[in-house]
Amino acid sequence: MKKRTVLDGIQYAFIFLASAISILSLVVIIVFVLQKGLSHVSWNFLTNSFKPSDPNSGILPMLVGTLYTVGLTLLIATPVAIFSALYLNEYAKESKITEVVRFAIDGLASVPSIVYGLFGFSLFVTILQPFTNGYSILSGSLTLSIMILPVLIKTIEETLKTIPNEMREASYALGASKVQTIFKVILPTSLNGIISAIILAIGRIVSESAPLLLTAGMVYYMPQGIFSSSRTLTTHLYYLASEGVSDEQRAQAFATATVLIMVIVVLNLIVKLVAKRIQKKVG
Amino acid sequence: MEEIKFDVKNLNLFYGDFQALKNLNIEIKANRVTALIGPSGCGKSTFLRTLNRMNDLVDGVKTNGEIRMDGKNILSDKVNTIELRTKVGMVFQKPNPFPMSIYDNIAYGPRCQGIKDKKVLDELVESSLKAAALWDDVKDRLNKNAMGMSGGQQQRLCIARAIAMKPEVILMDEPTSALDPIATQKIEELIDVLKKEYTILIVTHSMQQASRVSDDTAFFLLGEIVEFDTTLNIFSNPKNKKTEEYITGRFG
Amino acid sequence: MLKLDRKLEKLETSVRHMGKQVIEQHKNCERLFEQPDRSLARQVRHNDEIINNYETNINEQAIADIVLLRPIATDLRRVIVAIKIASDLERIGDYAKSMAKFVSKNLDNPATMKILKEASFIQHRLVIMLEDIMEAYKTKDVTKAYEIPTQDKELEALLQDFRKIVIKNNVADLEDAFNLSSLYRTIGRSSDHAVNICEHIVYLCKGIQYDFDKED
Repeated sequence: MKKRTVLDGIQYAFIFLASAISILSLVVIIVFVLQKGLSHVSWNFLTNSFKPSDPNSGILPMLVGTLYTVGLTLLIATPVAIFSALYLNEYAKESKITEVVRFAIDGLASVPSIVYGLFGFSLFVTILQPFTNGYSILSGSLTLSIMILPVLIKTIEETLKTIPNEMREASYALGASKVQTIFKVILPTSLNGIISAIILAIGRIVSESAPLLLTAGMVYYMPQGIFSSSRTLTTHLYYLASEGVSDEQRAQAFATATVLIMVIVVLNLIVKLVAKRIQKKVG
Repeated sequence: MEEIKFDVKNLNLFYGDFQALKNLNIEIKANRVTALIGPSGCGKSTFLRTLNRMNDLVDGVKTNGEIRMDGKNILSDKVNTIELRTKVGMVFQKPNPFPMSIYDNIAYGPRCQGIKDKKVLDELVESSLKAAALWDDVKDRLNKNAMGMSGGQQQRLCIARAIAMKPEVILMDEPTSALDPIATQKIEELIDVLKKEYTILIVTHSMQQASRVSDDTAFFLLGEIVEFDTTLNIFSNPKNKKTEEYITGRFG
Repeated sequence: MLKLDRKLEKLETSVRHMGKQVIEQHKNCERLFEQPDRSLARQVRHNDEIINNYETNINEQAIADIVLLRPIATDLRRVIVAIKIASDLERIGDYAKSMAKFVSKNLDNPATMKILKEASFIQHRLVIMLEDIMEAYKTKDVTKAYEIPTQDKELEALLQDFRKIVIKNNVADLEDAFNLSSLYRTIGRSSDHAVNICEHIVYLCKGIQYDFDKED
């Protein structure tokens, strides 16, 4: 009896410690970044364009480039991921082929991002140059789309799997077709899961730098559309951190990191809000 | 002479190599409640699901024989299963409302059939909920999510949802096994009312429920129909020894 | 109203109808004692068949109710009591039939008929007792069910007196006297079965087995 209480106590301590470490490190990182960067974040910093020589220049082009990249990547990847997941979970019968497809998806998910970058560079930037204009937001987004697809598909498929089969049966029993069942029951029911998948994807898109360096370029001008080359906040940060030697530049790097964190938070909030809106409309 | 709704002749059903239904022959009468009883795995649910072709959704199911519904063989490849399912509604073991509003749950089936007129839908929702004895409970919260209802209410919603399709037959697969006694009682009372307008088949593990709600009872064992008679005869004077042993709780 | 309640109500209504029929039989017997009538006597004998059919029908209904409705508690007692009352009513009906038979046999025996006429008030008491009982059954009046057996005691006393008179006065020959006393016994037996019905009503209302014979 006593031994068990002691064991329980130790176990509890471990659990507590582990949670504390993860929460603490998050807090430390955020506080560290904000402390060093927040003072440098100003309206000017957010709305000015960037000049390498000017310590007081801003990051507006990168902000816009980031939003472009996130938007376009999601626009390309989400529908493909949803339909792939639907195919795997609703249409394809369990067979050798689906096994191979799933294996491929798992494999793709663990390929390092720089490999995607290399692939995107040779396919989108070089071979498809006439369509993508070489280094461009489009090339970058296409590359990132391929990169995040496996994760998106897997997460969405997991969500689809959690929808009880009774829900589908209920729909069929009411004389609904398969397409009606998917669009009226399965997708609305899995909306929450799809949203979390998208949020996860946003995180990855925003934080990725290597593939973008190789496909979207490092141009620091304001992007004029999806065919422009562009720098995202992350690649900018990479540039500042690797090139920057002066205190000014270091401050700019931390300020950029601060903005990056805020962008992620804001995007997450927006997605959740949109999801709530849709959910209200659906049911 | 009572009208026959389903005339089942030499029905066999296989899950791969396993034969789940063996040469079934049974006549289900219209506007009566027919109970299907028997131990687990005896094929009663499988049989129920052949009547609206829900088994089509399961891989590797093969059937042969005939099920004539009002004279037409519903097992034929030419039968449109979507149309069949609008005529043969189903209520499942676990209440399974869609995670949407009460109104949308009822309107789901009609909408799938292309009914969009708000007035028509409003009336359908009201009449279906009334028929399921649920209208007074929910009329003020039709736009609330159905998942917030109690289990018994959810199951009555599922019945209302089936009724909204204006079916001829309602199949019930252990409709009260997940409900408490009071909710069960309400559903049983409801079945008694509904049989005036619908032909009802109910799979149940509860002998009490079978005897209370049904007019006829079929006893299934190992994929065969051992005995089929009026419920009174089955429960007061069964002809087959196996039937008697099962209904008296001596085996199964 | 629950299906169960409707069905049980129907069952009890059948029992009440049966009771009415039995009371009618005994009323006719009372009439026969007052005013011998061959055709009425025949009718009473004939009507016993109806009562027997009632009992069969009530038993069938009760079995169906037990099988199909699975009654418990008060509901179960209602069914059981219906069967029991129907069984006692059937016996009481039988006694009416034998009374009518007796009258038919003795229509040409003025001495016997005279005594019979004098006894008709006892039969009247029986009829009233039966009516009270069926009323108590209808209203599930347990107090009344406890009171009614005193009527049986009084009736028994009256019959005892009468039997003595018949024997003492030597109004008839031995055979007639014997027949008459057996006829009185049928009235007494009817009354006994009526008391049984009171016990059933007590069981119905309170769920306890009560025996009025063991009262004293």
